[in-house]
Amino acid sequence: MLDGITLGQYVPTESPIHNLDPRTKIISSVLLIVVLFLVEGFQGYLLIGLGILGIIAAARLPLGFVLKGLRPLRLILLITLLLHLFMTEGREIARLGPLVVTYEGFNKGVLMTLRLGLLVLATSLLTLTTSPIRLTDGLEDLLNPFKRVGLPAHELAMMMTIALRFIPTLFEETEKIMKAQKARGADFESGKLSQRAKNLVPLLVPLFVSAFRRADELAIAMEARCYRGGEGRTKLHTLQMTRADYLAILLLTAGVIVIAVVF
Amino acid sequence: METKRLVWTAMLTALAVVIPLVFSSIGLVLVLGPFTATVASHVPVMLAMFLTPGSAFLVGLGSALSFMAIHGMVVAARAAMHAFVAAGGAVLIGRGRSFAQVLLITLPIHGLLESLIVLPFGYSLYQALVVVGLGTAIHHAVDMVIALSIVKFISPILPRQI
Repeated sequence: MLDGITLGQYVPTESPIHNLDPRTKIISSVLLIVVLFLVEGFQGYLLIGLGILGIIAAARLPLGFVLKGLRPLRLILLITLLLHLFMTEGREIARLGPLVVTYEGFNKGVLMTLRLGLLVLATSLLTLTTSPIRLTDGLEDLLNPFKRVGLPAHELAMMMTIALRFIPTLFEETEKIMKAQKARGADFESGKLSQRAKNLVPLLVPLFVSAFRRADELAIAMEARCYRGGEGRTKLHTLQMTRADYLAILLLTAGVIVIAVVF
Repeated sequence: METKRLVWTAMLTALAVVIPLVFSSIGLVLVLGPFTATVASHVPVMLAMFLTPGSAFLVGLGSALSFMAIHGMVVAARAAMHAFVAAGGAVLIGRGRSFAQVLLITLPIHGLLESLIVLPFGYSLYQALVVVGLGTAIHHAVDMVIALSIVKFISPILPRQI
């Protein structure tokens, strides 16, 4: 059920996208997210989708693997589609008992579902092509200007990277615990919502205990390696923007502006 | 930031992303009109109240950033309110209030904050106050019961304002 989680995973491959500076990839992801909220027509989403497919190909990532990342979200995507389909007023195209499907609802539902799917793909691409260390460095560098207003840039970047790194691990852990509890007779997928919520406790307790144990082990390992936070910390590999990075940002910005203005 | 606190903050942020994704995939979703909420999604933010207010704020903020990538702006904006609820809760725990009291005190604040934040996104006053506000309050109450049940078991390993 939870297999195919791509958010937070890194696929180490030699590709032009992998070689880009992490800051370029973070900025590009933000640009993609922004344009997904600006676009309101199918053509715009089609172009963005094609762009994302192009990036997946350039990153030499298996398309099936990347698309599998949408599987855990299928219920959310379905709810999004159905909510818009049945709850938007407009011209009636079909009727299912008391529920009315409208042309506007159909359009909005498909667009929202596409937006959600493309958002997840765009975000997954960042972590799939950037190693956790480079992601931390990139985030920290981009957050550095905010240090002047007291933002702990290094700590925030490190925290986000550790969180991203542990998302796939915690998914696996959750699946293992669910299977173990089901083997003991637990039922998470049927019954009233209140009963199912109650049944979550035997799942959540071991999940939190395991996560906190991992947190303690990681903290000890970091301290054993003399990690003392961002103060006075130097880097083995300093980030360096190349011509390819500037070109990628320029092309993407131009593409985003065109798509946002035209569609 | 102390290493242990940093890692615990990160882990709770990761759980704040994982739990809604997993539980929505098995249908543990409350649907109240245009308002949807996943059961137990607030639990990591509630547990973050045991850390310092700064850490609790970061867990709320971190989960909001993740939600922005997955669910879009409105859900992210609502999730961003968790940062203030968690930080406020951590302050109250620091002042010696019990976890149950803190969750009860933050319930109306949580509902109010989420209903106010959706107004700029085109929600009507009714949708914001009744659907989102009341929906959030119910969601908070359900998650509060789950969080209190969990805390009973994991209390010995929980950090106390580390």
